Amino acid sequence: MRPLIPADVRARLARLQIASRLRPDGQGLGLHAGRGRGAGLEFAQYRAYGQGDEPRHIDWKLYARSDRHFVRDATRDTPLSVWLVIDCSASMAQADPERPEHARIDAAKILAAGIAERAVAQGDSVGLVTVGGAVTQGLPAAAGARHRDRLLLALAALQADGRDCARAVPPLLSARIAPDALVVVIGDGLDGALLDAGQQLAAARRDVRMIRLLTVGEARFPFTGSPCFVEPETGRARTLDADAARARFLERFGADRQAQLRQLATHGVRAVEQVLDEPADAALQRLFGARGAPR
Amino acid sequence: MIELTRPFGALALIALLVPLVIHLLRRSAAREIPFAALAWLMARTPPRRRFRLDQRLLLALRMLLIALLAVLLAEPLWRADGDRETTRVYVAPGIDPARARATIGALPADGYWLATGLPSLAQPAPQPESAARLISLIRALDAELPSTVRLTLIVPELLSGLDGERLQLGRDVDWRIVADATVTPATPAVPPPPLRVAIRADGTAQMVARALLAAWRADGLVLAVDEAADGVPVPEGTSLLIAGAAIDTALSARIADGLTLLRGDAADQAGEVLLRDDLGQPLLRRQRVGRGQIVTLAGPLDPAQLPALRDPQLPQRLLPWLRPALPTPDRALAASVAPLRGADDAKPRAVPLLPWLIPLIAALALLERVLATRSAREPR
Repeated sequence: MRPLIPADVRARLARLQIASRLRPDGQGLGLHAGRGRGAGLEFAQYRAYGQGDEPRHIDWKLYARSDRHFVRDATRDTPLSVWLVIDCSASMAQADPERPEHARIDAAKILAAGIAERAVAQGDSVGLVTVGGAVTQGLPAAAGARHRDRLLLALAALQADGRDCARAVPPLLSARIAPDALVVVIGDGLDGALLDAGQQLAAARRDVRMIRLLTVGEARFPFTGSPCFVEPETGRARTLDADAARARFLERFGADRQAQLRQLATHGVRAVEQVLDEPADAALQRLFGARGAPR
Repeated sequence: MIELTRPFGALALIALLVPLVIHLLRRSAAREIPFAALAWLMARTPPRRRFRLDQRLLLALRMLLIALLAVLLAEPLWRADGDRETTRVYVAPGIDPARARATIGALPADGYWLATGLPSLAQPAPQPESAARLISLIRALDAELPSTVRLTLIVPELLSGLDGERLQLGRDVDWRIVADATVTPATPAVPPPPLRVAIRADGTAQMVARALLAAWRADGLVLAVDEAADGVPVPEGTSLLIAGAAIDTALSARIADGLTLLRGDAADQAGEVLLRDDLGQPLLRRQRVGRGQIVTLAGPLDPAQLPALRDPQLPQRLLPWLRPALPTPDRALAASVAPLRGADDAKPRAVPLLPWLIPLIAALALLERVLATRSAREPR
């Protein structure tokens, strides 16, 4: 099987750190600053010595200054659970006529595989939920190389064949996405229900990130002549003069996209766009890279 | 120039509509592009061309094929008519080529004698021919030469040997007449020979015969008279014998040889009636004997017994029946017998086009198949 992630993308991903805005409250040993207090390198707080605390945790220097017993708490580094939510509606199968083998769903697979690779390398657990497809698939969040391979296999088999975008919501809400998890929604942003679900998740204390994949046709509308545009999910078709429609389409669609991004931002959802002709990891660099990653 | 043998076959050109309709109905739909953001596309920009014709080359080929098939049904002919008009000059034999050259200015290279074989003017002049032969040659030229060839005919002033039919041609010809040509017509104009008359009668009959001759002479008829006694043989060349005697064997032989015998005999009732008297009784009868004839008056040559002989008009009434047949008039001024324009135009020889058309159609059909299947294989 051809590897999902191209070699150059993999090289750039090596410097990427998947991190959540929230402090996870998980068990086990991880790289992320968790909410649990305990043994760790990062100082968290002093608290009064109480029953059950080990005496060796008492900060004796502070006792010398204040004549009270204080326990020095450190932030416990915990693993993060990362959930990949992939839109599998038929519109995700849309590709550009110039590059028909690289559809939105293919770009989504590369992005998801990249996140999974990095998360597993960090010791985090990764889960997968597909929404909007004919079949809802999912993998529970888990860590480890074997789970990563299972997830990559499931990713490679994904098909964008959904016709009914209304079904996107229930699997997403019913999925057992733990609080404080990092949820990365990869879709085309045309599904309003998925956007709403993302906002609800964000309100329910999940760090929701959204990657919106745009085809070149949607981003720059390079069509000429009078082609027949067919909406893949409903089958509606419209033949029109592309040259005359270009400016108006770019203006309206761009304005609506910006408004969506602003609305998502107000709900705490950080969303980025990636055009299909950009590098396959462009959205990841924007979300988690040195510049864009929140600490 | 292409000419259609069956012009109704061209009605098959209506079939040209068929490939047009096929291409209109079966035009491939507009290029389909999956586009999820259709809701943001305004419907206010309609497609620019609603009636598109796809695969125009194929359509043109198919229409050409059908047009050729229609032409095939119409059975085209090719008439070679070089658009280049040429002039050919034909000179009747007997005319001096120098005079002909003077008549038409400069004599072009295409100059021929109007004689059997149509020899070039550079060759010596052939023998003059009769006008009937000339006209026959002119008709042949008109039928054989392409219609773009202009005929210039140089003829003598006087044509003899003409027939009664006026020359009709399928083209306009330049009919030039050389006024004072040194032409010797085939039948030269000679004065009519004298009517040779022999008289073998005596008495009253002789007097009647002489009176007849005198009346004819008075009318300007030239006579050569041989008057002798009965029984003297009639000299050679005599065309009219006026005799009272009976017909013997020798005379019968002369009559059968072309002699006309005028006699009076009330008893002879044979032969056709040529003239009748005032009362309607037969006056003159004729019996044909061989090439000659026996013309019998209804009574002896005696005015006392045949009062009609006293009629002063009788010699003139008799004369047409007694003269040998005059030659038919066959001479005319060339100016008066210039060729007329016939109803049918001269047409050049036609070549049927089917042997070329059928392989062409087959090749086009093959090309059409190649084009049609190739475009079907094309990824769309």
